[in-house]
Amino acid sequence: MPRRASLLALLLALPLLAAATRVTGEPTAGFHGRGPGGFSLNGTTHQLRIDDDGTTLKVVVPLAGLETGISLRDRHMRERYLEVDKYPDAVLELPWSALKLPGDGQTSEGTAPAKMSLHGKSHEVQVRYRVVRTGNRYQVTGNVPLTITDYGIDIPSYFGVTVQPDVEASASFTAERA
Amino acid sequence: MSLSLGARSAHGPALLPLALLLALTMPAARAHAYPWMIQHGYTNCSACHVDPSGFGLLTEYGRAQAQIVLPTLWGKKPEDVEPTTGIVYGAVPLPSWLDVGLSLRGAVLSTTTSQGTSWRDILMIADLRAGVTAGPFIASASIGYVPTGATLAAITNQQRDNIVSREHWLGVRLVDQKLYILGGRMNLPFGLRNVEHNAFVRSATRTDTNSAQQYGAQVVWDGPGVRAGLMGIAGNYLIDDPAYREQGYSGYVEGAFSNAFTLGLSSLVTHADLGLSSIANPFVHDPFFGAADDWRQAHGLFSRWHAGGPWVLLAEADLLVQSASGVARDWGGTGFLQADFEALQGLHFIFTGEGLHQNQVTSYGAWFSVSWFFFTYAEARIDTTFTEFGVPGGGHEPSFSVLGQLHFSM
Repeated sequence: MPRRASLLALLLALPLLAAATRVTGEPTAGFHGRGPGGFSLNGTTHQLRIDDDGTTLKVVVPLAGLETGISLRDRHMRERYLEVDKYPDAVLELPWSALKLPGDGQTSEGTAPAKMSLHGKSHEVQVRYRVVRTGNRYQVTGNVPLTITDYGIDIPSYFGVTVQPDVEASASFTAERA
Repeated sequence: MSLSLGARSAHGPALLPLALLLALTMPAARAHAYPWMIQHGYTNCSACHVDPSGFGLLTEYGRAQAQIVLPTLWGKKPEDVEPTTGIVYGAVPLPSWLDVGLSLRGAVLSTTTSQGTSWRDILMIADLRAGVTAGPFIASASIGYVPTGATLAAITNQQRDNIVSREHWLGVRLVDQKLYILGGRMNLPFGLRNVEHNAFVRSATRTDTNSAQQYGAQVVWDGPGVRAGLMGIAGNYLIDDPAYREQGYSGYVEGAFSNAFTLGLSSLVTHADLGLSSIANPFVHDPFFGAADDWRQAHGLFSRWHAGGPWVLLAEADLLVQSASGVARDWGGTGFLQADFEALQGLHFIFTGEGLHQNQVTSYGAWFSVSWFFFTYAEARIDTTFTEFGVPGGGHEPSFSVLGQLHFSM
């Protein structure tokens, strides 16, 4: 009976753990790519959510909302390259144990191993992060260099301008952690 | 263009102010040079233009953007546009190594001063442009016809009805198209490459894209976050009298601090044995015209800022210094601030303020312009310009001009 009670308590606690970290304010996620010469390309979305099971922080970015400033380019990005219908999210899984969390009023920076899932493929990546803590609020920024061909994404090319396969993905958000 | 008046033959500075004003207020060569494209995150120019510093002939990618982001789409969504890269609305396909563009611009201009109101119709530009890419080698040239004006770019030597070639250059591009080495007749790398060639910042620095091109060699860096150009000026060899040809340098460096904000620095120094006439202010006799050992300098800052939504701000401020034998050194300056509001795709409301202090007098002006790219490769534009030209001894001479124009390209 006590074992059952413990199991029940754990099951009840799991959703609480999962909800222990939540995003506040407007998050931003995106990527920065380059082409020939000084050509650059920035994609941005304000859709981002985090899932926290107490062990791993999962940052989920729905890709359908990515915008680059030109809607035809957005359409090509979604349909031809990211194939958002089939692969709607980019997901970064980051173990809490790899993060150095700062004390109250302090800042921590570092690089942590993580798993990036994109376009149906997953790879280990290194995340450069910076966390600023105020009480239980954490302002988080992170960058991940990616090679899109590693994820089976075709190299975008449009009317003579070809984007380089190496891009920088980034996210910034504020989270409250219980 | 105004600079050409009296310059090719280098005689006869005593031109009527009204005639000068007409020439000064005659916009031209506005095809395809839109610094407000930063609204779409474009801080560099070379993806869309064959000239890596912007203006003129469009690349294949530029022609596609001209169909997607420039015109009003009349209910069609931009993401549904299927651009064609051939010319004449896709009827004439082009190989990837060849870029071709045709630009036709006509206008009606009304200018009112204290001397009265005048009207004239103008064929401002009728240019055919072509560019060739072969491996790292690139070349670009334009040829056109103008009934009047633009004589500094004229390869014929008539009083009117001239053949002009504003640009003809060739070069190589290296380092993943970041480094360009160019030679020939080119636009001077300086400041904003704004379309209003008769704005004080363009006319007083003589860096417009209408006819102020010079011969020389240029190195351009077009890299991520930084673009720069430095040109050694050998002179304008379309000026008959070599004494009036300017030699020196012109250059800029511009940093993109984000994909919405840039800040640049420009510098120009030229020397001519005899000074060319400037008509940035037609009511002032230019003391440097014909003066020996003429040194001309311009140094300044410029910026492009996508302030948010449909708003783009363009700004430029330049110090002007000129000296010549027997003429007191003149210290002046010019400034330009423009706000571009794209109310709906293709329809721009443009508010401009400008000022000029040169030859001891101060002039200032305000523009209100509406530019409507009402169809693919078609633009209607109206500019209303009120200018208070400073006059020697104090006071100002007001001028009000209205220019309506139609521009077609393909």
